Parts: sequence; structure tokens; C-alpha cells
Amino acid sequence: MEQHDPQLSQAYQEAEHPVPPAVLDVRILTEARKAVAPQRHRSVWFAWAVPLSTTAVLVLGISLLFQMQQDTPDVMREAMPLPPAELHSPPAAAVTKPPPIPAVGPEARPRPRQSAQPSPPPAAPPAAADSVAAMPDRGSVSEAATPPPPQPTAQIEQSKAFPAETAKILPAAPAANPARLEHTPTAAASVRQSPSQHKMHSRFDASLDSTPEGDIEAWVESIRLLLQQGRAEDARRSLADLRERYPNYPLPDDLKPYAR
Amino acid sequence: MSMDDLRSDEALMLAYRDGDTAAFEVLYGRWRGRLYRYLAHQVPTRADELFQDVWLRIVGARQHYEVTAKFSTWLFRIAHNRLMDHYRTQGRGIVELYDDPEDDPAEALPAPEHETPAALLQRRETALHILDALAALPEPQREVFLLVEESGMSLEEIGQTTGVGRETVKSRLRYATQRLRQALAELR
Repeated sequence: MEQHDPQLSQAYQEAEHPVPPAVLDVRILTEARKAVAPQRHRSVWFAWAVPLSTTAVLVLGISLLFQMQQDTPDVMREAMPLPPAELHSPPAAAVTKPPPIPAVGPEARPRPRQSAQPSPPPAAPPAAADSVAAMPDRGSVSEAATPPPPQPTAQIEQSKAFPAETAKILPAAPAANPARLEHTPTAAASVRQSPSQHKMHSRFDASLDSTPEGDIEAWVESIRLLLQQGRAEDARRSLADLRERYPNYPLPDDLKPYAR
Repeated sequence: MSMDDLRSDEALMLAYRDGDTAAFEVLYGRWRGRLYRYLAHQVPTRADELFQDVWLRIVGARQHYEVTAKFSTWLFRIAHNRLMDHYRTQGRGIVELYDDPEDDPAEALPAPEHETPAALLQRRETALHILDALAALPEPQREVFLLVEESGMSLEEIGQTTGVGRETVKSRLRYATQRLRQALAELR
């Protein structure tokens, strides 16, 4: 380069010159790194966001689990089957409590209320069959003439839910008794054609209101049929069951001689 | 910072633009001394501040950097502008000195003498006193001398950096050289 004096240049280069202080170096290099790393700050936030959100989800999940555990025992309690004691003693409000069995005579047989022993099933009228048609199988079927007593509402509901338990306390289903089915139309027809019996039903007490009128009448007719067939003992036994179940039911005059 | 990096200044700056802070450290190491001396010999009391400002402007312009000129040209252009800003705040009319390039009284000074052994001795003393003589130069001439010594740019590039023509740069340099020689000759 023209005008360039090497001597001066050499002199200049050999002179002692000031140098930038170290603090300036640090400050400038730090700023240079910061300028490149703004994304890293965001990623730091994102990095914290992931564990924070995971922690929040875990806390929510654990609190929900505790909540469910507190609620679950109530649900489980409702779903659990009733103890046998409750099954055998239905609620008082829904169950018709028959009055105590009066002592009729030496031949009177004290029968427990809602006995676990199944009564021999008689020839059942269609009404009786219909009332118990919804009931599940209660075990062995007997061919006795005694129709099954109409079930109280609560007991029917229990029998639907717990068929195994109801087999112990409820008599056999009348629908399984072919003998009963044979006489069903006749019994039903005789029941419907008896206005006097209709009046007698009106004198029944409130506990009989839940019992279909036709069932009792059908039962009476089935007893009459046994007598016609010469089966007096069966007729007496069935009549005794009827009186035990419905002590306030006024017996027809023709059956009074057979009452014990 | 590694000084063994063989990449050009422009390549290093492009790498820094793309996120390579190590490239910037190399670039900074190459030019930190020269830039600081350029500023320190012109505004000794404000050299640190101006030096930091210049580099922070380099960092701030990172994302938009494109190779349109040499990195040194760009660097000292920023430094020159920062220097002018400083002069304007001083209010001493220094900036106006840069506007009259034709008024340099450089032609009348004699050429340097041939160097003798005695001159060699003088050289040692010259080195001790040149900075004082440099400080005594007018600002435009001083800057040109410093740019020649520190940046390695051509007269054309110095003209682009300082915003003047090549002949103005040439004139200022000649004047600066003569004044320095004269000042040093008075020491003999």
C-alpha cells in the first residue's frame, strides 16, 4: 500500500497497547450464547411442564381412587345377598301376618307361619297358577292337592332375587303340578260363578286384601273335589291348611264337618 | 476459544448465525484485540463501552447476517458508526472534521529518512512515544491510520467503512504518516 510507512507500522506494532478487560470478554460471550439459546429457555419450560402435568394427573388419579374406594363399600353392601335371617323374615309392612293358629282340636296341627316345609301342592286353579308363574323353581314338586298360598308381595320379590333361598320356604310351584292344571279351568269357572262367595270375601280382614279372591275360592273347590274323589283325609288336611292360612275365612257349610 | 480454526471470518459468522456459539468465540478471539486498540486509541475513556456496544450489535445482527462484504469491513463499519455517535454526543465538532477530507495539510511534510543504527535506537524510543503521537493526530487521520494498522483493509474498503472515497482515505493516511514521523523526529 502506498503511503504506508513500514517503520511507523513496526513501531506501532511493537508498542504496548491496551487490552480489553476479562469482564468484557465474559459479558460479550455470555450475550452471544444467550442470543442463540432463546429456544432452550422455552424448552426448559416445556421440560418442567411435562413433569408438572404428570404430577397433576397422578394426584387426580390417586384422589379419584380414594374416592372410589370410599364409595365402593356402599355399592358392594347393596349388591351383597341378604343374610338368611332377613330372608326368612320379610319386612313387616309388606307381609301379611296371619294371626296365631287357633287350637281347633286334638287333630290340630300347629304349623309354623311361612314354614320352610313345602306344603303338598294341590290341584291349583289358573289364578293361583298365574300368581306364582313368575316364581322360580322352588325345588321338588309334590302332587298333593293343597294349592300354594298366594305369596305376599315382598316375599315374591325376594323369591325372584334369591331362588335358592325361596326353595326352602315356599311351596312348590303350582304350574308344575299336572293334577292342578287339569282342574284349573273348572275351579276358575266355579269361583267366578259364586256371588255368595264374593260377599264372603268382602268380610275378610285387611290382611287378606293382598290375596286374590279367586285363589282361596279355588282352594275351597279343590277341597270339594278331593271329597268327591273319596279322599277325605287329603281334603281334611288341605282344609286344615286353609284354615291355618286364612283363619278368618268363613268355611262353607258343606266343609265345616271336615274342619278339625 | 480455539485459534486453530481455519474457517474464514465470514464462514464463522455464518456458523454463528446458525447457532454455533463456538464459531463466534473464535471470531471474537481474532478481532477482540484489534477492535479494542482501534477504539482505545481514539476514545481511551470510553473504549470499554464502545467495544461492548460494537460486539453486541454484531450479536444482535446475527440472524440477518449475509456475506455482502468482508467481515472486517462490516465490523469496523459498525465501530466507526459507533464512534461517530459518540463524537456527536460530545458536541465538539469532531464529526465535521470527517466532512472536509480535502483540507488535509499533508503534502508539505518531508519523507522519512533512511534508517541508521542510531535510527534503530530511535525506533525503540519511537515505539514508546508513537502512541502519544498517534493521540495527537486529528481524528480522521488517526482513524485511517488505525484502520490500516488494525483491520488489514485496502484503501477502498476503508473508504467503504468510513463512508468516504478512496482518495480521501489516501490523503488522510498520508497526513497521518507525516505527522507521526514529524512528531517522532522531534524526539531525536
